Amino acid sequence: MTKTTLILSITTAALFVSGCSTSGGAGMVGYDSNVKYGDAKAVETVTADFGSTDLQSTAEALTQSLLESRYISKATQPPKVRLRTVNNLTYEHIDTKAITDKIRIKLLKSGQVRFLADKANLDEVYDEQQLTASTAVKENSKNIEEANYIVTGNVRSIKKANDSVKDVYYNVSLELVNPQTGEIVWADEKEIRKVTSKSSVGW
Amino acid sequence: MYRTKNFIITFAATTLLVAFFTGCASKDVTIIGEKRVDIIDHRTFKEGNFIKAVIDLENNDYDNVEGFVYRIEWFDKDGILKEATAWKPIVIHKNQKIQIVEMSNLPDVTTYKIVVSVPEKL
Repeated sequence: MTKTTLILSITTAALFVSGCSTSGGAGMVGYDSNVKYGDAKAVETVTADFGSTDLQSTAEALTQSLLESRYISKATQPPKVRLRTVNNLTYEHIDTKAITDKIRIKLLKSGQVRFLADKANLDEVYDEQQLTASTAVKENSKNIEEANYIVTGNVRSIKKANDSVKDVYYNVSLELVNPQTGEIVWADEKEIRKVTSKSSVGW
Repeated sequence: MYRTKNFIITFAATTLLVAFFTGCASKDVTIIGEKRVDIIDHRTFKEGNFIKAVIDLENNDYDNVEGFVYRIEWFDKDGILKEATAWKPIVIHKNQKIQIVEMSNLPDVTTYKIVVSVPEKL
């Protein structure tokens, strides 16, 4: 009886101690593990593939350029814009929607542009209208607002390599198009060159 | 009388000099790491509702290409950080000058700070 009690006590104590032995202080768990938080905006050069730094710098550069265009900056009212497809013409997987989403966030924060639901979330808009609107409204619910401009674009890359050097060139181009006339009213590009040298460390 | 006048002139000149140099010490610029890159000049102007910052940088080194990163921090009139750009890599070839132009995307930004980080030479 005493032996069983002793074993149970030791087991319980061990479980208790191991349960309490999470590392770190208040508000921290696993502080001494290998997982660390980093600067989300730091320059990342782990590989030459299209990465977070390229996404961020592309979005910032093209947003600035778009805000400077007279069709946005001189507009009497913030124009209504719809995002369309940005084609990935490279040989690697690039989530081009991440680029346009980031640009949309920045432009919306600026207050200079209004955005209409794009193709990706238009179905959700229809569903919501069907769910909430009265029958009379439902009949007109497909009348989605017309955009003043649409944003389209392409991502291209050229890769070259020899035994010692790998060179990747990215070109992200965006266009602002008037859908009524088909006129391209603004276009700009962001160029990125990344060179990987086997002998070098870092960039 | 002459000594008093001299004192006033000297005091005024010193005050102006101190004010000038504290102004030039530029709280708008922070260089992290080795100071191998010079910020020659930086200024802002309004572009519509937004502030645009123009920064001139120089690599004084005759032998080396400098790779470094920079970011711009945008503040409102109360000194609250409204936005910071991502760190951006940039290269200046030896004995060359470059110009960086950045524009804030937020209308309530009034001031800015340039942070330049130069890595240690390996």
